[in-house]
Amino acid sequence: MAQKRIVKEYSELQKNPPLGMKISLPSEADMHQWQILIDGPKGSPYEGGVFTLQLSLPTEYPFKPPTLSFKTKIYHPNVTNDDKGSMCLGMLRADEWKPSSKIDAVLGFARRLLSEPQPDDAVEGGIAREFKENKKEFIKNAKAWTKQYAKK
Amino acid sequence: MATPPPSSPRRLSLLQADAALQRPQVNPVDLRSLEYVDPYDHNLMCAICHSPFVCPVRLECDHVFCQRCVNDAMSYQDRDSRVYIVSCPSCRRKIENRAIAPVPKILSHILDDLRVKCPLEFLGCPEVTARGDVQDHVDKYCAYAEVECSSESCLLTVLRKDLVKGGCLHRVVNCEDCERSFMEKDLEIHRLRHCEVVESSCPDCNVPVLLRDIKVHIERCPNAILLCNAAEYGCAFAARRETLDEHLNTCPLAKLVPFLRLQNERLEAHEAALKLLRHKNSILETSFSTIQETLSPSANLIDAPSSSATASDTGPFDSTAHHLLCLHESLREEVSRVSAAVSEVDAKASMMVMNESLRIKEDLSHANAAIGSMRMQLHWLMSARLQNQQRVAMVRAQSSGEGLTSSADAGSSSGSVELPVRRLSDSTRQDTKL
Ligand SMILES: [Zn+2]
Ligand SMILES: [Zn+2]
Ligand SMILES: [Zn+2]
Ligand SMILES: [Zn+2]
Ligand SMILES: [Zn+2]
Ligand SMILES: [Zn+2]
Ligand SMILES: [Zn+2]
Repeated sequence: MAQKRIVKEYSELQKNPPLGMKISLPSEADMHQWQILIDGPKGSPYEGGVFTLQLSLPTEYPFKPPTLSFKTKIYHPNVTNDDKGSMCLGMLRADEWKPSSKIDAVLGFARRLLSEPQPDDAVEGGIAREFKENKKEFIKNAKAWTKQYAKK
Repeated sequence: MATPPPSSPRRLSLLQADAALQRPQVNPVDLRSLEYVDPYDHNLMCAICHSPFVCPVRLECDHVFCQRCVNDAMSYQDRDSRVYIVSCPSCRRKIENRAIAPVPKILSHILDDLRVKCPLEFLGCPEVTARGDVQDHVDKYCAYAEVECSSESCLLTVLRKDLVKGGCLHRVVNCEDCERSFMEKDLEIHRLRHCEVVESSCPDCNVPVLLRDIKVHIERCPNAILLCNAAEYGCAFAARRETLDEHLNTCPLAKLVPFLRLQNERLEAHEAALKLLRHKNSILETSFSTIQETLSPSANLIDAPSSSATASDTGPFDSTAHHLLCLHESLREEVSRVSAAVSEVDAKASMMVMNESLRIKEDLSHANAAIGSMRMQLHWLMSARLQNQQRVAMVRAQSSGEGLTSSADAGSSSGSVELPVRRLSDSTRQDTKL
């Protein structure tokens, strides 16, 4: 059943891709691994960059939440600054996930998070502190990383 | 159905065989994997499996899911939390009572009416049917469903459509062309779709082509004689592909094709609408005639019986119409009378409201004035009291200073405290009188 729902959601997203996103399958044989390309939202320090994300759908989907990770390095309080680039907050947390949530909503959530970081729910404390106390410095750093890692 | 283990008693297996006989659904169709022909209302979609509900059930919070989806969700939650209480997959409200409520019958009916393709479409069945009938179709009618071989000694299955060929189709035969061996039932498919030797020829170019490729070839054949796009609208032109392209540039009918298609579509839509209207009209006519029947006796009493030269057919109709007109007229008079009365009452009521509000306004201004003067008095009283207190404090300071030197002076000093108080209260009274 999960398989059928995933195929359906995938084809719907192919038909109507969310704004500023490209969705593809790295391997046609595996519907559980998606690759997402997100354009940095206008007005955010990530503008002008393209970020590669990996969306992994567990075999228990939709009863377990998908996991979302940044393959492109990003200077963001909610994304771990390691080679995993994982983010786990809001609707993606196991205790807040609802089986009726759609991947479309997950992607929208990720994009919104680029425009509005949530420092109170941060995984990178240093970046979160900077975001709260020295916004200018944060924007400067985020822009620099975007330029360095997320070039088109 | 699982066969019982060899150790189980024989009676049990007999019972199971009985059950299988009573329920002919040997291969229950998985309704969740069906392909739906028409777009369906998104409210019919289960939020978990994203297809129209199958055996829908309702939770305490009124959210509806497929029975199986709810069971799956609950079993996953159980595995996680190991608590008995689970939550709704949509709103996360705690589900106290796991007994699941049924949904209204109408929902099941709507779901059963959704049009689906036969699950054996991949084998070639073109059937489109209501979802509620699909099991029946597969069990009894589908030409591509597997049924027992007509030979009694054979335990294998054949497609229902091949039954008419008679005999056992499980004998092994050879393809005449490639000499590979197949069961007889599979030979036709092999020759049509897979055989790499059997040949046919293109009807247009006479080139030999593999039978399995003929469809693709005809679509691309450069020598194929094609009809003008406007053939259905009367153009008789037919030619090879390249000549046809030239023709399409000049053919006036071909240019009209999109327009004509649109016209046809509109025509069909109108015809459908007309059919609907006709149906409605006939319903209205029948109800009108029943109304006429109930009215005509009373109409006859009012109207003098056919003083005019109308035909007997239209007579009652006329008189009924007349009666209705009279009724209408009197009702209209009644209505105008009532509306006049209503407007009169309305005017009276608004006058009353005006008078009342004027009086209330006056009262309010009186009250305002009174409140103003009271505020003034309060202000004066407060300031007087403040001054008084200051004075008392001053006098006390003086008298305590004197008290240090001689205590006998205390009586005269307390008398001097009261004097300014009286004077001050006198002056405030004079002020308020002004
Ligand atoms: Zn469902
Ligand atoms: Zn609910
Ligand atoms: Zn069929
Ligand atoms: Zn047979
Ligand atoms: Zn062959
Ligand atoms: Zn040809
Ligand atoms: Zn033509």
